[in-house]
Amino acid sequence: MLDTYIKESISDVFSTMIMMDVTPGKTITSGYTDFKADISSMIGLAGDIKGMLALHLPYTVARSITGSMLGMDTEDVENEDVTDAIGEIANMVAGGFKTFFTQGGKQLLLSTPTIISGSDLKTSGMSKASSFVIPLAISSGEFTVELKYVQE
Amino acid sequence: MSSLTEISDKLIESTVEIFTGMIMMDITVKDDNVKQLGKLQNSITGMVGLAGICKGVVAIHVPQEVAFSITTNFLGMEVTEMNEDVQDAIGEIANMLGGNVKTILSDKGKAIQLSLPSTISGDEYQMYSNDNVERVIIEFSTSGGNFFVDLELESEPTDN
Repeated sequence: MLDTYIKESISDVFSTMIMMDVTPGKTITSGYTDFKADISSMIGLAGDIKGMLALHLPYTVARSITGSMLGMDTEDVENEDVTDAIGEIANMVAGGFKTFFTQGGKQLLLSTPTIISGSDLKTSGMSKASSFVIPLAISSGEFTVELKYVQE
Repeated sequence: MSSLTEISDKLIESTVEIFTGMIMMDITVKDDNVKQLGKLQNSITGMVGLAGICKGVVAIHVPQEVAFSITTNFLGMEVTEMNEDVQDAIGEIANMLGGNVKTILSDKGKAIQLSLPSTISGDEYQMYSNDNVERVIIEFSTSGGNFFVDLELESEPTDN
């Protein structure tokens, strides 16, 4: 159910703000660690669900999404545009997720986005949390959205 | 934003308290207003999100060698490589800092909650925040090297 909320939110954000077609793949629920990402943006979650929503993207995919969102040619996209855009997209996806999740009175609060660039990064934390990963395909490649959470 | 300076001073106090009280390490402030955090190398970052009336992130960025000595002091047993103990220790410090920031901000009657702590480590990475965020970065020195405490707070509340 939670992954449905995220897929719907991504679909909304990509069709209204980014103007790109996105195709979600099958939700992966166990042991996915091979993110192949150069840039990630994360939003902390608090309230009746605690944890983190993250986008993990190869840099080329991040740049093409940024270009489409800003109405620029990919070649003209600067690193600052990418970090801003990826942060904003994570924020919007989390916002959409929040709208679905809080129907019926649950509470969900969001932090500000954190964007991290780098490759072969190791992440840890939230060892008792549930998690799943949704792979997504767009014209310029693939990226993933990850939710790690503990539900009260 | 003058309250950011007050918050920064209290954050320094909290960090010193945590390190002297729980980790048994002496630390001093090297730079209480680092302008920009460049690329972090061979480091580990612990972070926790703040949400509610104040939104933001509290993070600690530690070079590996310093992370090993912090973990060694914290656990009372020698650690010389990046492992789960180091990740847990750094995540826990971020969580404690987050808890202190929450108290600092909540004293003014603000309702704030923490997300869950996590860590990221690698050979080279950089952490960015968006434009509508005010960022305070403080560099601390220990006998084994320096680390950074990084507080980001949303400057204009948005509707989330």
